Amino acid sequence: MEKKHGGIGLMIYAIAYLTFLYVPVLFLPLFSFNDSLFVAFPLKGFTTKWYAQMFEDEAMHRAFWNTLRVGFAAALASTALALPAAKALTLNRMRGGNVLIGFANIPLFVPEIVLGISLLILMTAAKVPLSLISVTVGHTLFCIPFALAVLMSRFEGFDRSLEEASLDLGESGWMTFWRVTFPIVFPGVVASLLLTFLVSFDDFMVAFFLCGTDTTLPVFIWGELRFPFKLPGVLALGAAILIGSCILVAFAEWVRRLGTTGSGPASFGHA
Amino acid sequence: MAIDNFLSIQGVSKRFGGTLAVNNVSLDIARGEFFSLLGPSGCGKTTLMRMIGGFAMPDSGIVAIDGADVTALPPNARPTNMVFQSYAIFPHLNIADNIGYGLRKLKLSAAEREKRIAASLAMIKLEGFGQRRANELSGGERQRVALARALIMQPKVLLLDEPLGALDKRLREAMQIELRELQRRLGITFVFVTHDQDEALSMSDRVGVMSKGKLLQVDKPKALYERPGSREVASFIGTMNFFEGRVLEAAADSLTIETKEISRVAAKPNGARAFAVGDRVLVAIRPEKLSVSSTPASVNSVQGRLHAVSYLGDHHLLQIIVDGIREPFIVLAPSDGKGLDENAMPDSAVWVSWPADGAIILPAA
Ligand SMILES: Nc1ncnc2c1ncn2[C@@H]1O[C@H](COP(=O)(O)OP(=O)(O)OP(=O)(O)O)[C@@H](O)[C@H]1O
Ligand SMILES: [Mg+2]
Repeated sequence: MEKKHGGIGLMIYAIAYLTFLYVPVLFLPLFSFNDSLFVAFPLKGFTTKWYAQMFEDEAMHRAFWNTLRVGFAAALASTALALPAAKALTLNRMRGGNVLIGFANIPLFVPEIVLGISLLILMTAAKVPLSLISVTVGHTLFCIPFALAVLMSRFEGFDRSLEEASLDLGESGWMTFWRVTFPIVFPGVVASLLLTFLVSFDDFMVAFFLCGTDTTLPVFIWGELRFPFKLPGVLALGAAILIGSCILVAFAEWVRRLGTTGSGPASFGHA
Repeated sequence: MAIDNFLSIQGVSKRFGGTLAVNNVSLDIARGEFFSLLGPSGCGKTTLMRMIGGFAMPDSGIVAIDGADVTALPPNARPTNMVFQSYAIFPHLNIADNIGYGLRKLKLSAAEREKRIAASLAMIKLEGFGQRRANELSGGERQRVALARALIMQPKVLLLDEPLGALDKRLREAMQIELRELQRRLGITFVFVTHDQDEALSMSDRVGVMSKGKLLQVDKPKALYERPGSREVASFIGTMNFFEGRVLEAAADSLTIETKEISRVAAKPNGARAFAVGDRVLVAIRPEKLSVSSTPASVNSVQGRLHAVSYLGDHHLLQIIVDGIREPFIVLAPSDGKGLDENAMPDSAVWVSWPADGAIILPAA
């Protein structure tokens, strides 16, 4: 009896927790379909005009396109930089690896505003004009710990003798990487690309300091908030981003786990 | 077979931090020889083999294959191939692509490649398995794929690191025979690592016994069993009864040894080793050289107490406690009743004896 009681308590806690976590988020899509300029109850009526209005906005298009480009570049750069590091840290048990992981993780613990300002100072000192390039550099730095975490988890349990077998069969280290290592960790690479893309896509603070006049989507949204009549449109945009992000995260997690359960082979990357 | 130095290892050492994993090993292996490295876990077998394959650099010493010094060459530049203990079958490739993995460098036509892979699959009796993945094969089948993938490269030396360790007893014995047969047919030099002495003795032309990084003895299986050169080798290969003594008389073809527990032991010197009067020696006797009776024999008899009897089918394994000797004597007696009264009871007094040429005399460590 007592055990069951505890179970109910835990259930109530879980429901309360999830409610607290997600209900505020659900207001976003809710009000984005509300036929009123004011975000307040009672709801007036159903409309999709805010979506239509937002998606016709030229400035939004430009910001969205900027964000995509920065996201792709930062995802590629951070994943490409993290891949050899993750391999060295797991497979080759590099000396001083923990120190390196610690340094790579610093951007996770430094307040974003501090990170943004430091990068701004750095870019100014280096005379890099504020543009999408400076945002990409900042985002790459910021994304590396995420890429490293995803890739290292994929490298755990990688049998070193697979690489040795390839060398033994006459391949060079480089070809071994392409014919054996990369195909086997490929799901991890995809997951890392998706996750770092999202991290870059969602970032406001670093982009805010570094983007100059090339606004990214979060910076654009921030600007739009100054105009009360644009608020419902911002809600519509936010709702669309929210759903897109959820789908991408779920997909990334699914890919990351591919072929790690049981002894099943990865179904990717036939070399 | 004449021992030439097709694969020559000279003064090779390898240290990992505080452990000297391989300690100044020198070894010559002949072309086409089936050579086994035998030793307890952690004695350095894998490390020595990895230095032959190029996966580890020796701290000192030379590895030469077919007259060429390969010490500094990486694995992909050596005429060796390896069958890994974990088999290391590529999980993202099917069996045919696994076996054909190393052929890419040869730039064969697609048809030639297919032909070689098919021949290789036929050799390991896995025709029709080419499209399967590693996880769709049994342990024994995977083992054969690993073997075929290495052999298709036509290596001068094939290295096998405990390739049968993961198989059950029945399959292991079948694979031992298959491997040996294959090796004879192909004439490739095999270096085979195992910690199973039966496996080493039954398969090999010669066996090298290792312990704590050192190569203790290299010999034919029969010679290792009958003339072990040290206590370590003697106790690692088969079962052995030991007691210590001192040489009392030494002649060309006979030794008399005095021991605390058994007044005088008559023995024959074996091997090239000469003993002098006063030398401290170790008397080592195989269980099957001992016999048990209720009356003393004319030579080399000692009285003891029957401690335990276990039935092994055509033999009995007896344990006999002799006062003053720590380990009980282990005796392997035929079950036909010749050796021992069928109804001998535990704790009854018996005599253990052996012929003068039944004991191996070793220098005491
Ligand atoms: N990469 C390494 N780093 C540190 N120590 C090592 C390394 N490889 C082997 N050793 C040590 O060297 C010694 C010999 O190891 P090795 O693997 O050669 O033994 P082995 O005879 O193959 O044993 P087993 O039968 O258990 O496989 C061991 O003490 C081991 O701990
Ligand atoms: Mg080993």
